[in-house]
Amino acid sequence: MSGSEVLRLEGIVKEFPGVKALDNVTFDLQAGEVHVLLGENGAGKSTLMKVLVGVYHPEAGHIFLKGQKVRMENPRQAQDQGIAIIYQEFNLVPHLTVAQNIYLGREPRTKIGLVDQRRLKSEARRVLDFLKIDIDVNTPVYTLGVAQQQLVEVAKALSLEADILVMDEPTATLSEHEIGQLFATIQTLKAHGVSIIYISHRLQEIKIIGDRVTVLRDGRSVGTRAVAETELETLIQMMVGREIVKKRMRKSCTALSAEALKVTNLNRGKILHNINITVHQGEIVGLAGLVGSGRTELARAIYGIDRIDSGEISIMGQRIRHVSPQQCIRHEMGFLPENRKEDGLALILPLKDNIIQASLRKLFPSGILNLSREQDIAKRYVRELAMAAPDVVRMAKFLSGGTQQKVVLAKWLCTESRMLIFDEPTRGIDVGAMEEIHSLMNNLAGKGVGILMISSELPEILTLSDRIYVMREGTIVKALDAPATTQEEIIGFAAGKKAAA
Amino acid sequence: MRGNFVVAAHLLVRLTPQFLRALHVGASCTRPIMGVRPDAPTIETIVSLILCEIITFYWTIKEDGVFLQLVTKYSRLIALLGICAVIAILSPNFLTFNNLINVLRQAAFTAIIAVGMTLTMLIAGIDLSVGSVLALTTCLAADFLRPDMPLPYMFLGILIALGVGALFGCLNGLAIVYLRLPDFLVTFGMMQVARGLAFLYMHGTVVNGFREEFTFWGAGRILGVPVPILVATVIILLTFLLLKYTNFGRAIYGIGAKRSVAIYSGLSVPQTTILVYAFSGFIVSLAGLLYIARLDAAEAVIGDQFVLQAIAAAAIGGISFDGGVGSVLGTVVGALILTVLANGMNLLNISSLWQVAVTGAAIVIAVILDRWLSSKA
Amino acid sequence: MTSGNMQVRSQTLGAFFRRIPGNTYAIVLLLFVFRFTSPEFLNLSNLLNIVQQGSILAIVSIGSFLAIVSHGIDLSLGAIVGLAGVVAALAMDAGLGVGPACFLALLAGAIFGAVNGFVIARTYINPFIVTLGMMGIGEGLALVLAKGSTVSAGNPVFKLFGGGNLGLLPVAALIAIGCYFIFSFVIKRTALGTHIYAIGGNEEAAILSGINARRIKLVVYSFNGLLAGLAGIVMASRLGAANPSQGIGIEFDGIAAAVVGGASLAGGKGSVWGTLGGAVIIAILRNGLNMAGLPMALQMVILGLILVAIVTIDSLRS
Repeated sequence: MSGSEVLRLEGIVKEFPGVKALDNVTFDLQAGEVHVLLGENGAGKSTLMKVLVGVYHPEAGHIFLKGQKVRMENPRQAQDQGIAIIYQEFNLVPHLTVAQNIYLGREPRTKIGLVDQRRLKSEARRVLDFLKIDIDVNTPVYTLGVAQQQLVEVAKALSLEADILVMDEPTATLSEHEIGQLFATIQTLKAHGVSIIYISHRLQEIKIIGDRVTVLRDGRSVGTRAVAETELETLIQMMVGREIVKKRMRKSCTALSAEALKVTNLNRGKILHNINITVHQGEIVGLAGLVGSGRTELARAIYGIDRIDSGEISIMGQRIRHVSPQQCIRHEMGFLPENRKEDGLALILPLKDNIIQASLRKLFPSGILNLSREQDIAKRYVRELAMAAPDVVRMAKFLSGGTQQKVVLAKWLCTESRMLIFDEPTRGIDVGAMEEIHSLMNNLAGKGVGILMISSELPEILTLSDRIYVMREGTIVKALDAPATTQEEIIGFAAGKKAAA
Repeated sequence: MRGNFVVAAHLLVRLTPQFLRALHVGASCTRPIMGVRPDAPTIETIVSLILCEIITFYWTIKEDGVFLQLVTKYSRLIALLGICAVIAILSPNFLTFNNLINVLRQAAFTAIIAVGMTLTMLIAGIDLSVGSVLALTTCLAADFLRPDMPLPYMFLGILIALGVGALFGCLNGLAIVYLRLPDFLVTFGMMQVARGLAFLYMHGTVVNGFREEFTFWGAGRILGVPVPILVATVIILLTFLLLKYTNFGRAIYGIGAKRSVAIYSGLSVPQTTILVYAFSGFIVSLAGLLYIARLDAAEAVIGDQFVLQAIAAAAIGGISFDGGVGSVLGTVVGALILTVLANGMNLLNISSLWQVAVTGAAIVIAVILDRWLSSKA
Repeated sequence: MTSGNMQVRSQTLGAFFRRIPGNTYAIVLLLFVFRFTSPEFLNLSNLLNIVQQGSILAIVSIGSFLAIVSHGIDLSLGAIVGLAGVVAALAMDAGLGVGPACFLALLAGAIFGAVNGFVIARTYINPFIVTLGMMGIGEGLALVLAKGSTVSAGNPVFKLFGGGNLGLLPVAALIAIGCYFIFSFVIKRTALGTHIYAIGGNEEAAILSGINARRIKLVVYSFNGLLAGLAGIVMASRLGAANPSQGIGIEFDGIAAAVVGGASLAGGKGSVWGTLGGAVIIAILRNGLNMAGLPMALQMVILGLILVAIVTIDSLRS
């Protein structure tokens, strides 16, 4: 739909300590179009959107709304200016009704200031009818399925009279049928003149719903194309760039024949199907896949945090019957979780406490601590991993992100495990620290440690892995030999362009 | 760290002579100190001396934030000393040997129970049943402690008390871990149950008069120091060592600090939780035994006030309600603050009815101050 | 408009009756059981007794309910009940009329609650520990004001609140029902009601929607204080005397009543009228156990176990 430009982001630069998240990005949005924002994890999509709605303030660049320059101070202001954003975690109050959620904080009032229930329901009804959504406005939101909750979020955005709607990975948790419903709703919105920024990396869907697509890579805009005129291969290439002649860190494979980890026929409800994975000692196995493919769920199932329905797990050749983190550690397997602040380290504990936390039984089998030994161990790791920490008694929450990740790493190195699962080891870390961690992982493998690495950074997967498993929708779709594959091939399997082999 | 020791030593050397003389003066004087014996140092002199030292200290270590850090770290101790100083000025009888021993003995009971409460709070839980379990276990043991029972029965009684206390604590822990119920709810229910069982068992009667061997532990003295104080000191020391120097202690802090992280680190959350509650029950029974030893009587209604006092002592002592932060020594200082306040109010003839209010106010002020100070750090 | 009214009424009654295996079933069952254990249980005078006791608990339970829905808790309610009663009695002793005395009592309660709300809203410290501390302060204040003993409140007009009847209905019950209608109205018809559920259900979403969570918490706890004050007046009026410790423990009954009525300790859900059902159940339980001639001790044990069981079942189901 041709027409005027409703939004323009020009020359946006956003920096964080040590990392340039957005580098001179320009993005425009035409009235009534669905403009897809495409890119891998960490490419800058959500950062750009956060700049748009005022969560972040850019170091440079301007935002133009309908030709007028604006400064986005905060999300509330963005909302008032007609920009609504639907996040992946919904912002709904479970026990309130659909109508109440749609108008939360903006309830229509009667003359004496009470909530006008009739108008609340009729207005909500109107919005839902307009979007052709068939949900009773009186139902409590918690009774609705995920897809319907999302539609309620869309209705909420529309009720805000938003001209611009940002949808962040809207189909991540929807079934085929529900996706169809959502797309129909989007068409209705378009017809009404709402412009939509659609963040996704599901290539098939982009072809169906998108008008134009802008690809971001490493914080830069690679280009904007009309969806109808572009091949998927082209898009993939834009996403990953030319084959990066990044030197493979893994020059030689040090894998032994002994198995460090073997997973057979693992199933967990609807989340994981028939997973078979092997990691040899001295081998680095990468686990690639898009967001929502189930990689972290798989890791948690292997480690015993989540219960599995069926499957066998063997560590160091020993079958483990009732998997639990305790058991895994006892059998020399460790797990560096994705979310370091929630699961990786305790922020209110000192650095040294965090480092020895998983190794207490091993270091002090009598149950009695030796504080000076604890200090020595902590100082040793601070030195070996070059942590920027003035002393080992500092509370972890005062350390930088990179240092915190090193603390998590130190914690598991301290356990002297021979099998380690890394979930996004270098997320949110600057390039320098990233290199250090990579070389560390390489050394570990050289010493015979088996490593299963989950990563959304394809260069990282390619440079470090010996073998790669690609996951999609809860199952392993392909096993690849790392030196022989390309980023395009991996994404092809991950996004579903090619059939599972 | 070295700086602290230097200053502390400095203060100690400067003040000890005066302090000792003040004690001596207070004990033998029947009239208010102020202005009676001009050659002896008055309390005001001591206090102003301390203030001078603090100000000098501040000026010599005027680096950024160090002063604030130290104040924060020792805030409770400073508060305790401050309160003591104020009371000492207002009442000459405070700084007498007898009175201070009284204070310590009173504080001993609160401190022991508060130590158990500290552990449950460190693990981000709470135990509301302490008062009732104290009553129940002491009532169960009471009959075994009478003089007309053979001596071995006394030991049996003690064992029963401790065992039942630990048992009830275990039940608390089991319900919290396996039924996934909120801690205050489980322990609240247990509070009712234990109290009810105590009433049932006693039928409203009171058991009076225990063996000498038993009452010694509550009312006797060793080398001039009342036994409860010694017992409390031992328990505090042992718990301190437990928390600081054992894996178990680290597990407690780890689970309280962030449960999800503790799980990933392979710490056994169920086991540790149950043990902590069992410990709380055990230690409460121990305190109860000391308590009835001193009272020389046991009945079903005792112990109600200990819950609030223990929580207050821990909260004032810096144990975070969310878990993972705090030291058992802080709790001890908290218990001392509470007891000194009560003692001060007695000495100053303030109605004991104010005590509940003061305890409550102390909790609120302590947590607010703590929040404020940590936001400044 | 009439259909709207009918809908509202059937909603409130429905909420009352629809709750789990049903509050009604529980009540009927209890009445049945207790009728067997003591012949006088279903006597009019005993039933009136239950109603009067239950009214006091019912009023306090609204406060517990509001606090729980907002994902908080209020342990100071019992202390405020005692404090308010003492304030009213002392005011009348000092020569004030019934009206001004009650006003003072309500004011005292409201101010107390406001302090709770202020601290909780400003500092985000766990409401448990704040209201625990305030409970001590309140109880202490009441004890000091009453000089450690009971203050008589013999004014005949005053005694109507707790002991009088309007026809067959006890005034206390009317007051309680009145409160329920008022707060049901607030919950269902005002934005405040919706917002209380919002900050309890998903505080982040509520704040993002522009709701002032701080102000709401302040209001909730102030209401609590007011309600507890009212309950204190009724209780003192019923006994003809104000005992500073008269309300101790009622806050836990209130929590149980709210939970039985559908509230969840995690906040965001619950029903006002369901809470009334819960209060009735607990009042019946207490009275029935008493009438059955069981020793006090056993009553405590049974009641404690039942309350825990109730909340266990509730949390296991969610």
